[in-house]
Amino acid sequence: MGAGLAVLDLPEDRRGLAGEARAALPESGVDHGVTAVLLSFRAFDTWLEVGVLLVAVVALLVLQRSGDLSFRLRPADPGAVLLGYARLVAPLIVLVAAYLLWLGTHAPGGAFQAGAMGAAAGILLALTGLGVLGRMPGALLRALLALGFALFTLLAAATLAAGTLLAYRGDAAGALILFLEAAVVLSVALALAAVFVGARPGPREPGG
Amino acid sequence: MSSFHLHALAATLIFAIGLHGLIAHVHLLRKVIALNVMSVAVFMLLLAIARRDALDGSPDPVPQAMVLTGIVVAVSVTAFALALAHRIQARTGEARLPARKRRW
Repeated sequence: MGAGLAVLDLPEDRRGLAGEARAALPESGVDHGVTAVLLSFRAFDTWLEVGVLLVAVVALLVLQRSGDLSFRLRPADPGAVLLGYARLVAPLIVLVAAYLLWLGTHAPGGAFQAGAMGAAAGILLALTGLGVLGRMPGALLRALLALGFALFTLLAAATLAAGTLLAYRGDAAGALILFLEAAVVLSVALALAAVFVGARPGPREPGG
Repeated sequence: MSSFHLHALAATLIFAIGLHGLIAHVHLLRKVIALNVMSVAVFMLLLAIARRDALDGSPDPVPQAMVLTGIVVAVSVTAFALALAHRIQARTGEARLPARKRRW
């Protein structure tokens, strides 16, 4: 009830930060407001968000006391229709993910949306037994998972050394953002798929 | 009462429902769901604020970005909580917290 009164009592100031965000948009390197906020003005939050996702995956691996996802390797028995469908659709999903990533520069879209779609492809492949997640060597899996966060951290260190933390402006910033987002997409897709695959009951457990 | 107030109050109500569910249920899975309900309520409030602060018809991008970040964090926390619940079940045989006898 206290919270209810609090929201009723919210100040009537209707400006928020929309004006400042709109004004700074040309400097950000992208043409969409939300993407600009996520990857330029508030890139610090996005950086740590990628870190949080990575921590969740690492925590999962720690809980399973495993360095890779082989503990979830189990034979799948998809029918012919599902196999054919998965083989057809998975590359299309990856294509849509890439499109969403590019779309984020001027319309709703971007790294996390594309990463979620990529994870959908990974999950589809894992469910039909076509995926490589369970067979991927642990070192490679962890390297790819860490790639997005590592690149982001490198960028943070570089911008910090050059002046202000994660401050990049102009047209070069647009290309930089896209490159960074691509790495994030890979890591996020892998992380989400790994979390899904890793949390299913194993072959020896009830429910598996 | 404006549309914003309606959404904001609804968000508060949903948050309260989620909080109650988090405390009241003993089954771990239901607690995880309650946590998700609470986060949805927060997102709803943020988006209502985004709409209220709209500039020339397009909503304020800053709370929208916060919601996107929040969704990813909620997914991560849910994944970790589910892994923990799974582990607890493997260890103790059931996915519930030990129920306490009511003292009132």
